[in-house]
Amino acid sequence: MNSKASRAAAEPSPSQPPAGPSVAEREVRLTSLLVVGALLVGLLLQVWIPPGGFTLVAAAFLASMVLIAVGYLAPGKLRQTIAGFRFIATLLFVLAVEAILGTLVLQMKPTSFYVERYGVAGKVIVALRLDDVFHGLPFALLMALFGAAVIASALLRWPVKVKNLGFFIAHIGLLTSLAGAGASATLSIRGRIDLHAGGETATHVVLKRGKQLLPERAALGFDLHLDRFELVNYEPEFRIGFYEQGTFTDEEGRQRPTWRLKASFDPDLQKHRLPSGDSFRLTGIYPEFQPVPDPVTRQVKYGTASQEWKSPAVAIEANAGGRKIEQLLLAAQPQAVFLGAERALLFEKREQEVKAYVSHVTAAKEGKRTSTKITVNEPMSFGGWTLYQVNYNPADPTYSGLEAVYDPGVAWVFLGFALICIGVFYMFYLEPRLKARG
Amino acid sequence: MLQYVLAEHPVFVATTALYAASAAFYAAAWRSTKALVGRAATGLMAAGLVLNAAVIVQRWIEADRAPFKSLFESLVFFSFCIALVYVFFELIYRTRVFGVPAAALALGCLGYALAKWDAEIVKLPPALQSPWFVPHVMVYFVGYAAVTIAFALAIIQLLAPRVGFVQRLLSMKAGTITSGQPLDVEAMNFELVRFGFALLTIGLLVGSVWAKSAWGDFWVWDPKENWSLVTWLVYGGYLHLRRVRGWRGDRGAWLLIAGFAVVMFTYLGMHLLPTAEESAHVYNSQ
Repeated sequence: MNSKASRAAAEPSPSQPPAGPSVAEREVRLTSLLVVGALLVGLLLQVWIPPGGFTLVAAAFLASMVLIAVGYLAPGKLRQTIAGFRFIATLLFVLAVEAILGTLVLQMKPTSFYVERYGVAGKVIVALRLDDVFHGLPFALLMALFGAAVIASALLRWPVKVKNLGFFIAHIGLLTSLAGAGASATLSIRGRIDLHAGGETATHVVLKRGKQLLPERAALGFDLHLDRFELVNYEPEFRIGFYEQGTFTDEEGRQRPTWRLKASFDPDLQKHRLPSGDSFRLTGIYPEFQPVPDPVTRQVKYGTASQEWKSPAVAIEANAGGRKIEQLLLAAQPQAVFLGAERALLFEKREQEVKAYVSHVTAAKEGKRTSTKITVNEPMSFGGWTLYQVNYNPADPTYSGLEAVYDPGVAWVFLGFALICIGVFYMFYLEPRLKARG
Repeated sequence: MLQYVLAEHPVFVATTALYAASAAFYAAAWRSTKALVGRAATGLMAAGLVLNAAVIVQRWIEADRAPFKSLFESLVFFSFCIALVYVFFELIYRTRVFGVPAAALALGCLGYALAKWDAEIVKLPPALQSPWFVPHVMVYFVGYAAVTIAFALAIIQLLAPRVGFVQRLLSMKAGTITSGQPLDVEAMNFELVRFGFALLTIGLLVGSVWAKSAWGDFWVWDPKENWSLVTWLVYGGYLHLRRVRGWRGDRGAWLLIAGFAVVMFTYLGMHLLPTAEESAHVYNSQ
């Protein structure tokens, strides 16, 4: 085809009206315009409007309502576009990019932190408000588009039929969760209560923003007293540890030798193989070790005063490259059995790890008293607040740090979660069966 | 190391050997006209699955807690989930064509677990002692397994029109396609992602409920939370785009490969992030 002919094929003849963009092309254009526009407008406006929970919720709510209203009132394809699969898929990917961005830059640190850590780039991070991506206006406006898309696509299915109930429930669930999260971001109060066992009764919480404590305080509305703080440890453990020498890089970039635990064994009488190919077995286990003189030969033998693991020792027989080593190892005086220059066995007591932090508290309001315990994963609810175990001080066994949260939105968030789960399963696994039945 | 694992952890070694053998038999079933070869492959996979479960149960008893704490433990559970999802997949679709990648993936997990072997069983910190811990991890890993198999199928889907051997695999019947029907890999992928997405949704929401009960916040924008959300958004995007013309076939398959990359980064790559220092979800052994 010559160039004139190809131009003729590409261009419409003067007698025919030029063909407009297809529906798909229009959707792509409008989608791009809305998403890019939201990001740019957000970036521009946040020069004057700082990020924050209220900014996020107010901007997202208002912008989504405006978009829905314009979509329903104005002529054109706006409503169909924002309710369409192409628009929502694009938005999901852009939100994913925004979420990734928030993991590349540490969030909600003081301004000086970014400048110190990243230099000039730190100033750019602060200027673009990438230090608080999830409370800024670009994110808020993307959430507005998301909210509008969810509402518009759910309304497209109205009136709801049994066959498309799942889609509707899932999307209502999303909206309920978002509304709850919005209420949570704007109305919730969270703060810290520092208590000492038998000490003063708390009546207020020190407020927090993110992880930072604020100078303001809020009244609890009841009295809270720490009766007792308990640090529950796991039972002590004694292990046979196999170590190999390796290296690590120190803060100045130098290679330093270190011993690394490569395998660990319960003290038992079985023969064990080691990662180095060597082997060992215990020939005696003495939970409460004491030397016992033989009454006949008067030779000192190994023995145990009881079966309680108070001051244990083990007699070990190791085989290292054909060399047999026999040694007594006491946990109280750790001594290595060297199997070679860079590998060793040790009988040792493990550090006792914390199993639970338990605050025994009493809350009192207008003559009503409730005594209970608070542990991690078992918060206490009282007077509209929920109290969580979040801190302790190893140097002060009477201290307990609690987080107090008043969150009127969380019930809606969880209701939304339940609806999303129900909706997704209905949509994926019930609807196809209902449709197949006709 | 191998001698040590062989002597001290024989069930782990037997599981690995069974998955390797099942991969070999599934590969042989591509060529063999004997149905017995395919059946043997399935039998070996099922036996591997049972022993994999035994490794998990043994560890559960030994540790006196659910064995999902360390990277090693999670990899052993991930291999179990891949094998489990695959066996159900084989039963539903009555095809053994995809047995090789499934067995290879389960085997790969165990191989990586060998490289990340725990020197010692660690105790469960207070935050993980929650009734939400086990359902959260289980639901997530079964979901991960579904999208992992979808990833393998996406590669096959991309290769089929370009590589004659792969094309022939999808049309062979003896020992591999027991239903006698032609395979629609695209539709299978959609089913796997739908199943995986439903579980990722539940896992994400259960994690959120757990975070609320432990720390008082249902969402704290932790890097792992964010990347779990990214995973959910990517597969949500895939499910929506599938309804848009032009997004089935190769483009959809590429999206599933990208989705799997996100899943793997969410699972294994958190320590690489500059924000990892503030995350409560980074494996200690990484």
